[in-house]
Amino acid sequence: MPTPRKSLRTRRKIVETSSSSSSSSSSEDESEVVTEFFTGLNVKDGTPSKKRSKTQKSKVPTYTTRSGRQIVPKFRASTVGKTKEDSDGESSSTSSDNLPDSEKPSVLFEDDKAIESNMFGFQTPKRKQSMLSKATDSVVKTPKNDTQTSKNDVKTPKTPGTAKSVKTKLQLGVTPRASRYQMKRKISREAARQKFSAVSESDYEPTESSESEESSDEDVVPLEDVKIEEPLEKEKPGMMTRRRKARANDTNFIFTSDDYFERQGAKSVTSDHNLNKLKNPRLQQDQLMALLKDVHPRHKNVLRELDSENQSMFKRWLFAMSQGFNVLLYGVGSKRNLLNSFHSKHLSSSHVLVINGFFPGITLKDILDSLALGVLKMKNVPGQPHEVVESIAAKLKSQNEPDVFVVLHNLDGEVLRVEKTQAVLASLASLPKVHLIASIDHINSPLLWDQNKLSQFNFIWEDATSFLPYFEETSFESSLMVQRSGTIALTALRNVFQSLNVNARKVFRLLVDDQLKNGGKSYQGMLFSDLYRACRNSFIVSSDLALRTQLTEFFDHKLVKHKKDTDHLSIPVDQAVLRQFNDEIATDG
Amino acid sequence: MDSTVSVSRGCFAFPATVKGKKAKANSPLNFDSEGWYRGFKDVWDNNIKQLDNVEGGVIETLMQDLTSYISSSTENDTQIPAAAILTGINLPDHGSLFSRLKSRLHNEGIASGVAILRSTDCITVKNTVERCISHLMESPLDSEDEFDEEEERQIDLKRSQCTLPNLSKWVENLNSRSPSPSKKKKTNLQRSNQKKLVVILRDFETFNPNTLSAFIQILSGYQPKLPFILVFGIATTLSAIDEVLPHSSISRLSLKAFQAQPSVYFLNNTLNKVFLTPDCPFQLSGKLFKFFTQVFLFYDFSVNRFIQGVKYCVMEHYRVGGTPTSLLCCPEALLKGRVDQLAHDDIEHIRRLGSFRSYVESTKDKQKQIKLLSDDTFTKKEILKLMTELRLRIKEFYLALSLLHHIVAQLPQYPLGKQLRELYAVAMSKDIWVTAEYKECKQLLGFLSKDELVEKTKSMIDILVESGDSSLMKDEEKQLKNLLIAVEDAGVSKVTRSPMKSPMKNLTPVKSRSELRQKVVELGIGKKSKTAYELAREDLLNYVMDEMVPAKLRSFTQAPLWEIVTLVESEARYRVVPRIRAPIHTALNNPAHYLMCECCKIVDDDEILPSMPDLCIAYKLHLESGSLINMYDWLQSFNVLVSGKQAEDEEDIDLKIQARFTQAVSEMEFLGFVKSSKKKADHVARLTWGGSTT
Repeated sequence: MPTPRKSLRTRRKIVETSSSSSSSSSSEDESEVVTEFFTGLNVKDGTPSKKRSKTQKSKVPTYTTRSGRQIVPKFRASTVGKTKEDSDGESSSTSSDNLPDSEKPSVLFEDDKAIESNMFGFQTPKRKQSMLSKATDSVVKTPKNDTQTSKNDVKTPKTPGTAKSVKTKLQLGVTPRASRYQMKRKISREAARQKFSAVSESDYEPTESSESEESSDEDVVPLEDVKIEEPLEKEKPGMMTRRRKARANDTNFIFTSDDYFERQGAKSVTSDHNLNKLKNPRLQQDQLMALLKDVHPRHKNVLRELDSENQSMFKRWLFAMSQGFNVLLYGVGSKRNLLNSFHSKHLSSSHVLVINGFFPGITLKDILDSLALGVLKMKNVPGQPHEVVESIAAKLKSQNEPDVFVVLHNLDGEVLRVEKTQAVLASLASLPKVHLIASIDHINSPLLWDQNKLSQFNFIWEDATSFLPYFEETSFESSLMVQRSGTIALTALRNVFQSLNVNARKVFRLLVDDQLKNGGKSYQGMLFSDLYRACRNSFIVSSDLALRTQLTEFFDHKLVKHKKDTDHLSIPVDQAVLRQFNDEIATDG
Repeated sequence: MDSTVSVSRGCFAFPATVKGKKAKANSPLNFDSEGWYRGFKDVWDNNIKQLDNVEGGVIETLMQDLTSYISSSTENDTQIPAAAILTGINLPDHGSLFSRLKSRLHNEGIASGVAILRSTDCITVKNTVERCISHLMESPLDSEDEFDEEEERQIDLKRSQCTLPNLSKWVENLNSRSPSPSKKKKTNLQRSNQKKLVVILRDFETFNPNTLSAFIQILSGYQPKLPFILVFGIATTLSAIDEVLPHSSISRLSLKAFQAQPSVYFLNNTLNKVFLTPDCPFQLSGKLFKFFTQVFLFYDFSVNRFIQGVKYCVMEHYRVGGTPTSLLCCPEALLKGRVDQLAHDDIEHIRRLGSFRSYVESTKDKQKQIKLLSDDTFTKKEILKLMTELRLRIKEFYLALSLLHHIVAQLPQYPLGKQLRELYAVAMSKDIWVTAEYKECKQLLGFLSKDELVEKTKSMIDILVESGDSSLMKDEEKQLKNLLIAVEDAGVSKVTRSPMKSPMKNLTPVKSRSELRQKVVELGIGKKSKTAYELAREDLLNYVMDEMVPAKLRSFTQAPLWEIVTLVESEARYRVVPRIRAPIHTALNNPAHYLMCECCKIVDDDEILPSMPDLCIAYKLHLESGSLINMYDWLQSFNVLVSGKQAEDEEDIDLKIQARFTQAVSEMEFLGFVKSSKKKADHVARLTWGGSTT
């Protein structure tokens, strides 16, 4: 033990002072606290002992013991309880939870199965092959399920287990330890699940009765049960499924900051493979689209059902809009079709503005101008966005003006994610005669709006999960990650290049050649002096200054990037695109 | 609609083809023809009026203070009078506060112009001045009849003309033809004070400090000529002024602070006067009510949002409930006429209500049962009877609630809460008299002194008397009066009550040591002699807490036809306060949940089936990884899963599968689960975390 005794003593002093409130605590208590500190100290000093690994593994328990029993409850009470109590001045009565001295948001988080469920789970220690092994697991397992047809949950995990461990060993070369671990995890999970289901089964009677008790006083079931039988037959299945959906939907997920830090702290190991190993590392956009067209769509009927179910909400949306709410759609899958059919079904004879929020070139001015000029046919439109909104408001005040509907695909579109844009849209949406119906897809998009904007938008949030592919939304270059086909970059390059004079073209070709020859990940660019020399050698320019004038034109069109500190010049375009471009100009001559 | 697909445009305008009156009638937002709509409209319009009154009442004192301050502010050559209103953080509610202030200042003829500025409008000094002046010179008349004139005026008023010199000319002009603009306020004009120019800054904290201080300097330069008054809406504390403005600007102001009522007070008022009364046609269920109050207390403190939430639930209640609800969920006075309007279908609808069915089943009389199910006129009468009973029960409920609230609201530690709403939430969701808090209250009430008890009882009787309806709880009133007399007469002399229960108690089996101890203590107390007062008190409390309250405070959600008047809307509330992540995760993790197809059913959450949509497969695979994901490995795993076999040749992947994977990944990126990372070649970063506890 390298730690000198002296430090121990000082530590004890700290402990004593820190627990000054309980100064009369017995010496036994004190020594306990000290030893607790000591174990903590052990860890900090980095003694390579068993203890260390233990403490690190079970992170949470050490935290509680180390930080002491006094600290944790005090912290909770002071942060969660007191402030609220002061401002509101009321004690708990509604919730009989573990914090008796404050009102707790019991209802807000009540249906939280999610805390137990492993949403975005990270319990798997990340190994290089985890994804692949998972995939093979599933593949091995699925045929079994198919042949058995009856889903015997007790057997399924066990029987393929033995087969799987052999297979994975043979085919993947995963270390046996990994697979052993995987097995263990599977088994324990299965065991836990069985235990749970057993428990819930034995408790079946009581839970049922308590539920019915609850339902008698405030469950929606009786009211809706009747409702289903009544409406048009066409809507019947939709209603049914939605009801089922809604029941299981009552989950909420809570994210804690601890999870985040745990996640950041964990080192993630990945393999060094890269896509260039493939025969076709990247697909072109048009090639991709062509390929996807050939893919046989699955779940066709089910998707259609889901769509008609979603369409049955139209009336509800219209009513909400008539009462001054705006409608916001969320959920997995493209909601474009749904919005479009809403448009054609109900809004075909009204003022409508359709906005593709996912379009990367869209601007606030476009939106406001097409609303003011295109839809409302206003004569003079002011420059400032807020003034435009104001003049639209003034125009719509007149009783003769009909309502305006704004259909906005992706309110959370990349370029609309600007505070100011959202503020203007919010004030636009808050006008009584403007009705916004928008969709969002990004999981964090609700963070875009503060309280003020939210109350201006006054959204009704509708779950419109459709599972349709986001073809349109992702078709724009910037949202594609795997393959930058660079059609847009290429055309831009081509157009600018064609407008250059002969000398400038030659200079640019020199740059392209250099970049193609030496290109790579670590490519810095071409040195200015090198370029100058090359230019002089081929009689393109006669002086340093002339070259610089040529280059300014490139800079202006963002064809070439100039690193000032190292005097390097490079073309900010993907290597593949550049090669394609080079081939083109070579053939053109 | 393919016309909205374009690579060069993002906005597509579709102007209406039909115009004028015809379009108005055909508007998709026109619900007048729907049977349920009228019921909703009547109820909610009435509600709006009430809410408006409540809001007016809540801010009345503040308004009075402000108007008197503004009208009495004296001429001062160097300083601008400024009122700082501490409004609280519920920003969405402030709009109505300031617009009320504006209209009030206009109506009382105190101000000749009022400008309300928001920080978003005032980016530069020029903007600020222009906007401020155009607002000041606007006509105070906002009504739509005058609109056409106003429109012309606005065109006249160009931005470039909005300057301070012009404003001073305008004011001079206004003063010279003094009595013209509003004749009715002659008295005000006769005063030496001229009409004020009030500039309201709604959200003071978010103003650009430089712009604001320059603006103040400019205004103070004109102060001798123009009677400016500033009003700041401050959401945080007064020190915000020091933080935003430099000393040179503050010295130009003579500040006075006003405190607006906290929004919790506003909420309590709204609830007690509008929603939690027996006169309100609809009643909120315990859970719904708790949900919205907690959203208020823990999320936004905004009464406006609260009302919007309730409004939506009311809307859905009427929409889903259809005609019968719309007819029956109305003020009691209208009930009789409304029941007559019920059509056959509506009655059928009511017969299918759960509570009505159980009511029918519970009636012993077979003849009546059959009549209830087949005879419409008979059922109508029965419905009317039941509805009246229900209304009566609701009244009793509220009366008992206010009695209970009266006696428990001041107990130490507030076991049942201070506010009526807290009591309501408990009483609606369960039998309040079985809760531990209720018992605690009773125990605490047992310590009351005679004076306190007498006072409380008296005011309870007062509440009963004041309730207006004399037939309501008559017996209880009488009983209370008797008990009160007993309490008042009782002295402090010791009387022993015959211990008739105690030998019986000894016989009951004792299960644990602590129970035994309690028993012993109880016996010890029981043996002690009690004063007459203590006995009388016991009687009184036993009556109130064990008989009266349980009898009257039964949640009316057990009565027949309660569905008609009670808002449950367990689904609709999540459309107002949404949960977004959960449906997305559920959809991706277990698509069968939405698709309802057999092929994707999973037993275990971790299972991946090749039949799932590609996006789901990619998502579920990505859950396996850490903060970085290798694209190549991801693709290989995807390939293995989709093709259902090991790839013999890893380099050669079916292009179709690769395309599907590519699309899935770009969708993942679009949804915000991953983003490209520069840390390692061909890697993406995961953007989600959390949820793991095991």
